[in-house]
Amino acid sequence: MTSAIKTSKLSKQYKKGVRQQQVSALLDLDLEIRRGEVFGFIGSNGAGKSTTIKILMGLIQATNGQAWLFERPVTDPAARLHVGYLSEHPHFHDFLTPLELLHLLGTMRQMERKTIARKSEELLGLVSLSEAANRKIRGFSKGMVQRLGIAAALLGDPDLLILDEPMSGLDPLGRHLVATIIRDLQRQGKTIFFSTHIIHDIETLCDRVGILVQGHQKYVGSIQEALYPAGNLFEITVRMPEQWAPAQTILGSLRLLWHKESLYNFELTEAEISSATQAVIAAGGGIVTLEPKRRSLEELFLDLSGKFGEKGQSDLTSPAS
Amino acid sequence: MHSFACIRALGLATLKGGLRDRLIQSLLLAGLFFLLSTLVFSSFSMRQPLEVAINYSLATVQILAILVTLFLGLNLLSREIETRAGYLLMGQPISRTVYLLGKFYGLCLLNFLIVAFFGLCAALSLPLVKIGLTNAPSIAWGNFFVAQLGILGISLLLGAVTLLFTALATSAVLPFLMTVGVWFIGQSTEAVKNYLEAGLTAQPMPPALKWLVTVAYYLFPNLSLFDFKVYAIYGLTIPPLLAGYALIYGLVYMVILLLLAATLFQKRDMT
Repeated sequence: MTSAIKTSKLSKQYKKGVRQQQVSALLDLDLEIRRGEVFGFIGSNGAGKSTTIKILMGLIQATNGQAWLFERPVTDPAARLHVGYLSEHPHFHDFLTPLELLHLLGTMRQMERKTIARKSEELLGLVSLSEAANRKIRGFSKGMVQRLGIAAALLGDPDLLILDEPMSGLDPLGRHLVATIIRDLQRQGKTIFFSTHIIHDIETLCDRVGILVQGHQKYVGSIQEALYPAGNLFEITVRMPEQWAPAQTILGSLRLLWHKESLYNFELTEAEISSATQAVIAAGGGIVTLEPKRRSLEELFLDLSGKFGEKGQSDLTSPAS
Repeated sequence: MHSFACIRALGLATLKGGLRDRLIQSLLLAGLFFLLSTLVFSSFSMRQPLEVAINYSLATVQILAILVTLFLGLNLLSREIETRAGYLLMGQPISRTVYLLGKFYGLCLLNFLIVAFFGLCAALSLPLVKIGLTNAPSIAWGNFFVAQLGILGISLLLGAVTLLFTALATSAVLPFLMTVGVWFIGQSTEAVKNYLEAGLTAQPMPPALKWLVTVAYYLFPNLSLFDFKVYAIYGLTIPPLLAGYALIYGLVYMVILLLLAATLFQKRDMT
């Protein structure tokens, strides 16, 4: 199966300041995104996410290494023919109306006039901008601009969508809309590559995740592998009678994670489940939950970036924040 | 074919942007006012009201076309890169050259419309100036038309200069100042060169200065070549060779500028 995106030793250095000091924004990125998968790209500000996306879209040139879209080098404009792109904080020609903008983009994507008109109406409806179709973009709110950006990225029915912070600036309804669109596109077999700060989006939408830390690729793998590390660890929460102490049973040998009133939470291996549950029942207790031990992506990210325990300094946010 | 369709679409969008820009709209209104005032100002001349009217109206069209070129030209790239509005377009399956040419095409369209519209307004005002004048010379309409084409040539050359500078610079101020500089130098290099070569100076000029003037003459666009106002004012015959040379010179210079701009723009990082 051919890959939708492939990079090999992709690096980018910028020259900054009067002394033209070299700053590495990206170092030796090796990435392969398969067709039909949803790939999330996370990292703090300045980690190199947008740099990678800009190289893929031909907006900046790599200092070293190569990148391909559908086996074509990204330096070839034709490589972007089947790619929809949404930039971070998108800006449009605000003197145009959404319909005029989509017409312009459709022409560039070699679409026929009739098809552009039909698809434009359809997409503006999808992102709830039908009523603003003939209004100048100048008067749009941030969320409306973002939604228009999504419509623009979807024009031409692209096989690959590259979205830089697609949820940025959206209210909860807008975020739900984008998440729904991504899931629909996934069902249609489209490839989606998106960067985000919002861990929840990655966990709920992505098949695989890539983590960048200061331009270095620290992790690429499936969400399952990232969240459920090897070792088959589980967590059990039990409700025990008063005056009960773990030391009285086999549970005493397990790692107690937390304890609140009559509730106890232990970490255990798959092999220990049977004896532990029997011990709980024998002691007159009850099992509240038993689930595979799961670490959050945020924990993984902080772990990889060496900032575990400095959560407050992370740029990553949960949906509630 | 696809590239031509893209250039056309980008050009039309740029034209829309120009016509919907408040600053350009204000300039056009001011231009209309100045053209109407031709009728008043020409009457101040006792001897040559028609000549004054032709000169005044052509100068108005020229100033207007150049100002529009300067302001729109800067918006074409500098503001698009600053606001990142151009990222969406450059992320499409088109080359940077197509993007640049599309922008230039839009500038050409807007300049053509402005020169055509204001040229027409000027042409309509001239017969009004002539009313009541005895022994007024006839208007050399052909020359008047060629003078308008000359104005279009100057504004398009300056547009290409603006594109070259904006392809290089990261801010809008520098290209603006540099284009204004080119405009002033381009208008006078030929006159200065001729003056020095004729040996009319009171003291002999240092060879380095002569060399500098010669370099400037060949490096900067010779905008005075496109100035046919005198021919239009006095109804003099325009030498076909001069008009042909101006046309070829303008086209070649513009192509060189656009090629340079495209080469530089191709390598530029949109950070």
